[in-house]
Amino acid sequence: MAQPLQTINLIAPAFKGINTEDSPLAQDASFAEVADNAIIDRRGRLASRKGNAVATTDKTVLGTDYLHNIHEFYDSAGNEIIFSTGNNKIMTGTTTLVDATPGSYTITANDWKIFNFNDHVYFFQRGYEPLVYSNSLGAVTKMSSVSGASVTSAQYANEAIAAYGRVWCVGNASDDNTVYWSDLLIGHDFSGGSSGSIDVSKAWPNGFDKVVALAAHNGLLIIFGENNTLVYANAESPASMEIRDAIPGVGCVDRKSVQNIGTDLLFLTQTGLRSLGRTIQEKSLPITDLSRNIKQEIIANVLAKTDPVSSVYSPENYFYLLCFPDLNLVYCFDVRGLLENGAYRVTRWPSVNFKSFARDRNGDIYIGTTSGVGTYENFLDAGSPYRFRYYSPGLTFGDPSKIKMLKKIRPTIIGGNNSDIHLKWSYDFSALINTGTFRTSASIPGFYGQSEYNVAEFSEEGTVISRTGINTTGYGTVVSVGLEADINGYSLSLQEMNVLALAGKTI
Amino acid sequence: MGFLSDIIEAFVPSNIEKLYTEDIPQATAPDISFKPFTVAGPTGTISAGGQTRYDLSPSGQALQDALEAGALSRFGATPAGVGQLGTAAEQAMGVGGQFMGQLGMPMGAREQEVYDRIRATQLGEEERQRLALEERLFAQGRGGVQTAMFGGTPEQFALAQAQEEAQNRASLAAIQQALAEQQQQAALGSQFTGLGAGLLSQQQALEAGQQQMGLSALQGAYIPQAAMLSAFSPALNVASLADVSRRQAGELALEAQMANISGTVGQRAALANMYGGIYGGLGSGLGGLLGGLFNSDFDLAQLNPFVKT
Repeated sequence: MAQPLQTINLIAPAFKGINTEDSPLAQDASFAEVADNAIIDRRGRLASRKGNAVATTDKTVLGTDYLHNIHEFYDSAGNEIIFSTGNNKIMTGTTTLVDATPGSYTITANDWKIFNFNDHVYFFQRGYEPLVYSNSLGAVTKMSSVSGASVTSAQYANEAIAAYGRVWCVGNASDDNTVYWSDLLIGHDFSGGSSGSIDVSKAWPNGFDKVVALAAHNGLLIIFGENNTLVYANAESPASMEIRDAIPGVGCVDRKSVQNIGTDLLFLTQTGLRSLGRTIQEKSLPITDLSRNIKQEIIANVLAKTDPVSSVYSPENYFYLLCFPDLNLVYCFDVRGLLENGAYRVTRWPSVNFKSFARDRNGDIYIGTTSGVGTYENFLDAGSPYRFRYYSPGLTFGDPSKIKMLKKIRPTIIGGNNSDIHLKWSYDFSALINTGTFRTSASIPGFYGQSEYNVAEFSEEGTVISRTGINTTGYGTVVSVGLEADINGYSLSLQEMNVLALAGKTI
Repeated sequence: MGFLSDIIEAFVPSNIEKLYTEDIPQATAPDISFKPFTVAGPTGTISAGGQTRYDLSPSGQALQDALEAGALSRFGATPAGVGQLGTAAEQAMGVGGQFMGQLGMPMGAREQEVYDRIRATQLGEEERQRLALEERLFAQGRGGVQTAMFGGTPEQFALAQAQEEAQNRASLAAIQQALAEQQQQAALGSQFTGLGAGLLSQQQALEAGQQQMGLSALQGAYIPQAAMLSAFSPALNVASLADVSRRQAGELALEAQMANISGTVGQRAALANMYGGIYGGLGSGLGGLLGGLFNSDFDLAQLNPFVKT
């Protein structure tokens, strides 16, 4: 007797991002096993990320190194300079990288912390005299050479931020527990006025730790240790600031992972990505882990990394990017909302050579690579396509005991002009993956006001929508489906995926 | 005798000669010498003669003797209590001197001693406050705060400031206390010195009183004599009147004798002048005769002792 076809509609597949923590069989179909080079777009669909539009044409100064830092300096007069670091140099510019390293200043590392403060930009790196640039100085200058400066080797610090009218720094060659703050509005004066310091070595709730990162949020000074976090209130008056909260067991593994997302602070701990607000509310309960869906994976990456991570928060793109440069891996956390398990939706950007990020005041995302400075736009990585991947978790169609025979897979794809779409399916977690390919229609959308006077003037619809289906073969109890496509200049998003299967006998 | 004497002898009568040779009557001093007298009264007898003698009456003499003895005993004896007063005054002056002597000593040591004692009462509470602040700061995670404005935290600065102010107040209190003690010492020194001076004054007063009593006794001892002398005064006046009258009488008698003598001398001088004139005329006549005879320059007037040449 013929069995009716069962239809599984994967609406907005991978809407909840990837999940490598839960059993594939128990997973919600809204999760994905793989979501590479993907984001959750503004309509909640799994979509391809944008590419890296490299702006640099002359990277002689950078050599073969990559950009470890990118920073936009701007001041109240409207002056703007893009600073970057790499190849043991400090550089300016985007098209042509220009060496701006001060004379007689030798650099052998590139782990700078760069930030703006009071019309100046400050460069801090452990063991190095801090550097300062301002429009009036005209060049990157050693801090001690700045008029009114008072700086000692105690301020040759690893971590520094500008907050509450001061520069705060911590982590010199011999002391990772004394936080120094500058005089009010004078970021290079660490001995006069209302400057001071605080030794937090006795304040750690677990007895000992060392400061990794600093952050300012909501009138608080957040001092991240490796395994603990101290929250100081009244940081506007540092001499009187006091501990508001001490969070044992939750620290920060890298100062560059800390990002203020406006309403909260995100930071990478040894157990994953966390937010300060929820951590304070719920202390160190693991349920608040924002990277819970990739917990083991991210812990492994934290342990495996050898270079500092980089991160960026983009409210325009709703994401927080966490990059492991030496692993060529970027995690994209969608910060619009939390899943029911308290985690962010997350996708991976593997095999990218993105090394550093920066967001400028216009919302543009700068990407540092071996090619120099790029921006997060278009859909090519330095002119080359990149592969978008999606794989579903194991699908049992509600009855894991019965054999399923896939008959057809029909995705609804938006965009991807003239792209080859590789549909994938496999059974019972086999490495033998079946593939079927089709090409989306070639239609270059023409939008009013952008291309109305060229050949696209009369395009029928703004974006290509493809509902092409592929007949499938094989059988198994657990079915995995997927989709791969090379992103080559056009966006691609996966609206839904219809999977038609025939249920067989029970095994 | 010579020729001339012979001539004069031959020509001068005896009555004239007597004018020149007979002694002028001498004045005899009248007896105006002091006449001894005796005054006798109830207080005694005074005999004024070559030696004046006072003889008190027996009762007066006894009274004088007793008072003199009393005076002597007062002058020779130390008043009762003077020794004790002197000792007490000496002790008081000694104590006062000690107090006064300490005034000149430096006050630094005493100030330090008082300061240490004040601070000893404060240190315990200060240490408790410091420990409480330390605990509070560490509880607030602020144990390691160092600031350019305050050195440490504002609370530490405030505590240190309070402690410094307490030390300043203790220092000031110590100075004031030492000064007060010095003033007290001065007052005590002055008091003891005044006491000593008072005791000395009392001692002197006692001695003065003793002397006064001696003097009074001495004065009293001479009262009988004074009374006797008082009685002598009127008698002395009476005797003086007799003496004056006697001296006046003697003076008058002497003046009378001198007048008589003067009269006699005048008489003789007049007679001599008269005889001189007579003999002078005779001589001139004779001389003229003789001059003519002898052309001699001899002037008989030269032979007349009553004619001045």
